[in-house]
Amino acid sequence: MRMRRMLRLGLLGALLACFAAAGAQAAEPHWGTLYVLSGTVSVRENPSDSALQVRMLKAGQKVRVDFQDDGWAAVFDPKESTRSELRAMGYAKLAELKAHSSTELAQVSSIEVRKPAPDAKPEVLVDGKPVKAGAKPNAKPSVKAASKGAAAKGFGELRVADRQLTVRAMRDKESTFRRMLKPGQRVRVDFLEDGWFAVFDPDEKNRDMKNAWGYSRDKYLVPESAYSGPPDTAIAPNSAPAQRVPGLAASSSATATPKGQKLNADEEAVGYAVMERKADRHKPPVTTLRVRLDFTKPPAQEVMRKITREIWKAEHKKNEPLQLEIFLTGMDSHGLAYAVAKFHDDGRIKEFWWRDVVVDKGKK
Amino acid sequence: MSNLNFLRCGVAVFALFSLAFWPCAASAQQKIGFVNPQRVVNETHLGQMAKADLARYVAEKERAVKESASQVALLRREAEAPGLSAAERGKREDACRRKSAQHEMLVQENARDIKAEEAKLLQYVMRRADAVLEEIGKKGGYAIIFTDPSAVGYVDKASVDLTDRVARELDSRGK
Repeated sequence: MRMRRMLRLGLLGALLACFAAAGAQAAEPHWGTLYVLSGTVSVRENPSDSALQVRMLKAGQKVRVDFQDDGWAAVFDPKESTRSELRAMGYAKLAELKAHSSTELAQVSSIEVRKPAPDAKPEVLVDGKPVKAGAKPNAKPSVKAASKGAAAKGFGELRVADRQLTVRAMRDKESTFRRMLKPGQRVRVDFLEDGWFAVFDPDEKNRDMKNAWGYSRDKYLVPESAYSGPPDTAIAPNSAPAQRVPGLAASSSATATPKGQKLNADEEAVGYAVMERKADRHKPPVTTLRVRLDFTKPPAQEVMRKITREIWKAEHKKNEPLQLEIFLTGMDSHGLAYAVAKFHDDGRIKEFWWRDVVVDKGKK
Repeated sequence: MSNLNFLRCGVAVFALFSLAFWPCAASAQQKIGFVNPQRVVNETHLGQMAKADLARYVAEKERAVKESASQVALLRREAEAPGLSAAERGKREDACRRKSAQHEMLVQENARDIKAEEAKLLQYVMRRADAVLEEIGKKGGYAIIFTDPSAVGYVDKASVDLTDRVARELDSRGK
């Protein structure tokens, strides 16, 4: 009798342990690349050497890395579940990340956990190459190897273009145009390098670069499970960058038409209205955009900087230096702005400052 | 003729009396006050916030200047590197000169921008203080309240200087 009770308890314990392990595995986000650092790596506000250093990553720290571009990558908390650049801690140099990566994990510089298909198990990539079961000498037991089923389905992984996306002849946005992917179009991707995937027909069986259509930016090729439909073109019909962060929905008071705010449920929504667009013909000419955010209280400064960058992406026109003046809801639109941002030509923030005095509680 | 002279004299005497006694009569009813804007900024919560905002702005500007200065220094080092051909050295010196001129312009622009931002913030604080001033002026029967220290030669702090009162009132509105 006692033995039976102990057996029941044991079984219950084992079941609970299994559930806990399954839960932990489910909680592990399946995007980006995980790095365990062996040295210090500085994280900057923008992908630039001259940008403000926002934090320093220490040896032993684990980070998730994605949105690689031009030798830089966005750095996230390893537990970050939402693949949105808005949630990044900042940017780090890829070379620095790789140079200071841990030898703890099978002497590799990166371990990337990918989900090839919604029903398939996560696939593990070490330094961008798939690892087969059993070929992980010192890898942590929590990191599972690619399932045989997934491997049998083909190389690389299946991803979906989250917007109209160009496929180019080389890993360079200036290189020859090959073809256009429609929003929601499935493709097979592999050979990730410098933020560019080689793009193949989804039914392609041979992992050979000769069969690739070309190259596309990795950040616009999302796992099928993360794709929530075509981007809302009503948000910014002529401005592809406006669609980059689905969490940033725009409305324009200039046209007085509240535009659609199609958002992913797990994304943060930030609405804004353009109050005025004023071109200043001074030398150098600059256009000042006065924007009202749907915030009554100012968000954290890092968030504010990210929001200004996203608004710049959505609103800037070619060869137009743009300066943003940000107002919060309830502020006098003719008065001083809460925050002001000036940008480099490529969208990096050149200057950013804010005025706490204008949001003081005692204001009239 | 003598009547006319008498009338003239009478008008002159009345005018003199009026001039002599009018200011006293006016000052008995309405008062003059003074507020020091710099003290309002230094001694109020709002003013302190504005100062912190300005300090942040200056730091941001200085960061840009520092970056630019380091770029100039780098170009200078490159131009002075040994073993360069004359053509290459000339090219690098040109680049350094251009950057140096840009840097000088940036320094001047920043100084202008900082002054402008300081004026904007001071104006913002004083505009908020104006509302308080108006109220104090009306309630206390002040005809004029000066806010320009250079326009006032002497101020009897006990009776005329309203700065403390304005500062207190402004702070209490911010709570």
